[in-house]
Amino acid sequence: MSKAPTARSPKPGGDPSLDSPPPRSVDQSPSTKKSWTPPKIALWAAIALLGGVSWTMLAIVRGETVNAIWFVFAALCSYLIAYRFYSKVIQKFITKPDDTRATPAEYNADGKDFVQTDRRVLFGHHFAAIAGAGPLVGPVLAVQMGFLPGTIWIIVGVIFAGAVQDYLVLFFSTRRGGRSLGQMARDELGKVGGTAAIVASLLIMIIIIAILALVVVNALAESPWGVFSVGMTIPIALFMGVYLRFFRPGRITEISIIGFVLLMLAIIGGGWVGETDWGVAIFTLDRTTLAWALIIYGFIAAVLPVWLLLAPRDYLSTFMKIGVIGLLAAAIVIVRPEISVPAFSTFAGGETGPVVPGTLFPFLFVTIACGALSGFHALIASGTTPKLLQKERQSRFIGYGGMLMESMVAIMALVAAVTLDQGIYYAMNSSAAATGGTVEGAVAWVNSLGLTGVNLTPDQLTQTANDVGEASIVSRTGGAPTLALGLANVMHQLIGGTGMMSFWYHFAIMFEALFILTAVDAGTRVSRFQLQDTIGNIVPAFKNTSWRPGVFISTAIMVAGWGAILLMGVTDPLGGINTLFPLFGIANQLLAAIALAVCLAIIAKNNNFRWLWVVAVPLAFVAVITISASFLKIFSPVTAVGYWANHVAFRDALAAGETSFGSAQTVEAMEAVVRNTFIQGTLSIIFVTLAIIVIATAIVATVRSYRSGGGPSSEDPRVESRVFAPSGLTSTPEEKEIQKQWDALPASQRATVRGGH
Amino acid sequence: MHFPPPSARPSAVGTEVAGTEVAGTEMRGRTATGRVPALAGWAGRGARSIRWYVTSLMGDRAYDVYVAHLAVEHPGQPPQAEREFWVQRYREQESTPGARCC
Repeated sequence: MSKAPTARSPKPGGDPSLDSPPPRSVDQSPSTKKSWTPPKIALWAAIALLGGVSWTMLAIVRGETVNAIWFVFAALCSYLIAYRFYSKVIQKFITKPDDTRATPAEYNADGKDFVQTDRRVLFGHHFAAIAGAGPLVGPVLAVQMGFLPGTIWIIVGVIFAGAVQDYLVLFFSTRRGGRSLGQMARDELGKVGGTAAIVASLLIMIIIIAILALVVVNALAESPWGVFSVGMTIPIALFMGVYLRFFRPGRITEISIIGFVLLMLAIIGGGWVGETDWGVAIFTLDRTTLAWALIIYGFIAAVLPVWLLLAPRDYLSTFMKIGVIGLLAAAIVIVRPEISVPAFSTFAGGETGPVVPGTLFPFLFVTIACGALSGFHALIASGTTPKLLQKERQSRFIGYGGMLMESMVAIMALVAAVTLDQGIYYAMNSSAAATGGTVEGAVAWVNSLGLTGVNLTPDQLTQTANDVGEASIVSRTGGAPTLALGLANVMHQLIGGTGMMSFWYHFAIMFEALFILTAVDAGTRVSRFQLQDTIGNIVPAFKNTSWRPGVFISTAIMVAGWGAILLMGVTDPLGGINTLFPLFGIANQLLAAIALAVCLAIIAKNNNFRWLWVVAVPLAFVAVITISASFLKIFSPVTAVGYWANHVAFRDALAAGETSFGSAQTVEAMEAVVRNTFIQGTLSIIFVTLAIIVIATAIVATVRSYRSGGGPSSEDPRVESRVFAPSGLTSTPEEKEIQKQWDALPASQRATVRGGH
Repeated sequence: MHFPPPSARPSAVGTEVAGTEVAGTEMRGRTATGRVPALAGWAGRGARSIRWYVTSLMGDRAYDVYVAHLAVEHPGQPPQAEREFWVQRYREQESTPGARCC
């Protein structure tokens, strides 16, 4: 295996064993450009027209209801146009991929980490790695502002920001041997910017794990059915791990199918267990107990061998992800539910929304992160995927296309949430501090919100709870239960009728929990690894990742970090999710700002200032969002929005000797609020400071490049490619022609062409 | 300090290195005569394509890919036994953890 790229020229005549090898790339010269044929023009005109009609139906036509199918069409048509035109502009003027140039998967091929992977397989891979619970939760919470703001942000945001980021990071990392975002940040932004980026990523990881864990805890609290089914995933994963280790190594699909069947049995079994007295007694857990269980689980999972728990859980998760998303898409298209949620709700303008507080700008843009713009993807698009990419041109399909696919998931989550009755939506998503956690309290609270067309009755709440097999659905915050109810609401019309609603509800809870638990485990491992590396600079023994005490200590520190925030969230007298979720979005968007800042510096170094706006505009937007949202969280005098305003209000109340204040009924609760708001406020300050440092260093690097007309490229040296592969989902006629020439070569020669030592 | 390089997911799979890719649109099958055999042939190819895709995606083929890689790049070097290959693969994953997104 050769790590150092060695140039092997496959020029015609350069190798005596080949008289003239087939081309490795479709001819990209302008003279060979296909002209627009009438059928092609008609097709794109039809797509544009359908998209336009769909947007009109969503945004302008104000009927009593709107059909869910318009969401699907509006999204699909917009994505197709963006992919066909905008991403090609980026390809033509910024990335300029060159398929005669070998990718790291080719020149570093080792058969294990660096492997040329079929583009369609890699698309599935990349998608499974980037999509998780994020795009399912954010859009649900943002429905508070009506369906339109979220829909516009998800679709426009992905086209101009999210997919651009994913594509560029993937491409730039591929040109740099699959280097990680942190390494690229250090190369492009210098020591200060690079260090800030790395510290930020570590903190972000902790925040994201904590809040995802909070979503799971909220979904499973007081739900014996959920606790049993999700708990059963642990023995199922262990069984799968042992099976793969000792019985049939490598039979991953086989064991995943077995695991999936067991998972379904666990869901059905959960329904029975949840109805027995002993089941209720054992598996009804309150939020604090569940949080502790999750903390202990997180620690054990992160120190166990990968093959035993993480890997099999990951397989199950991938399997479920592709299946469930396909199922949900099919259900929405077939059932086509009518939606009565207003386009803009009364909370879109104000600051007092019960689900997530704050005005539409900037809080819509931090509430929906994944699905529109997710900085976390930059960690996957650099590092993992580039090592498997076969051809540079494929990065558009995988990077840009993969993100469009995630955006589609977010749209479907939004649709599932807006199919719900508004009254039920607010009853589920308002914190227990507002509803008191009781049916009567929830009815009184929701009806007091003064929403038009909403008249919630106690019957509705108890009936819905009954349908999904839960004791109550009041104040099931966090987004997961709402999505699960929305999904059950759509799916039961397709398969199974009302009798199946409880199954679908718990099916949805199960897969969300599965994604999140995998993310918790993997995230803890990654952050531990970073911590070990840092401590290793002082205590060298920590660098050795197989030194058990080092592993235990650093895992404990990381778990304590997210565990503390999780506990803070579950015990927060103000509700938890509504105060913490903005931090999640801010953290994620901050990482996006870092990734875009790195891309900005790279494009500037290439002296491509004419097209710098492609990155500069989304970067400026995300910078304004994160910084203004952070400033509001720090400086806003409105107690529902500003952490410090709340902090001061409760501190003063305590000082004045009051024993209850706002939704805190006791002195202890008031003290908890003072403590929590202090931590949240401090985190906001740290985040915004890091964001400003990274963006400032990127601007400095860009200006420097502008003055000197570009800068030294940090790309790896060019290596000639010896293979051919199509670049999009399907092969074009030109690609088929070239493929034919390659197929005509005898296998031995093809192997030679692929390069041997 | 640096970001840990996220390991290649265990399901990383290559196109068949020897160039015997059998997949979806690129499938070149035998020509069947008559409607029923044609249909059966079509269904068979479809099933094989799906099987190829799912097993590639999930990672079943990682060992085959590794063996094929060795055969081409390092002919004569005996490959690891399959069991050891998997043991080592998971061990490597442990020392280079990769993030999953939210």
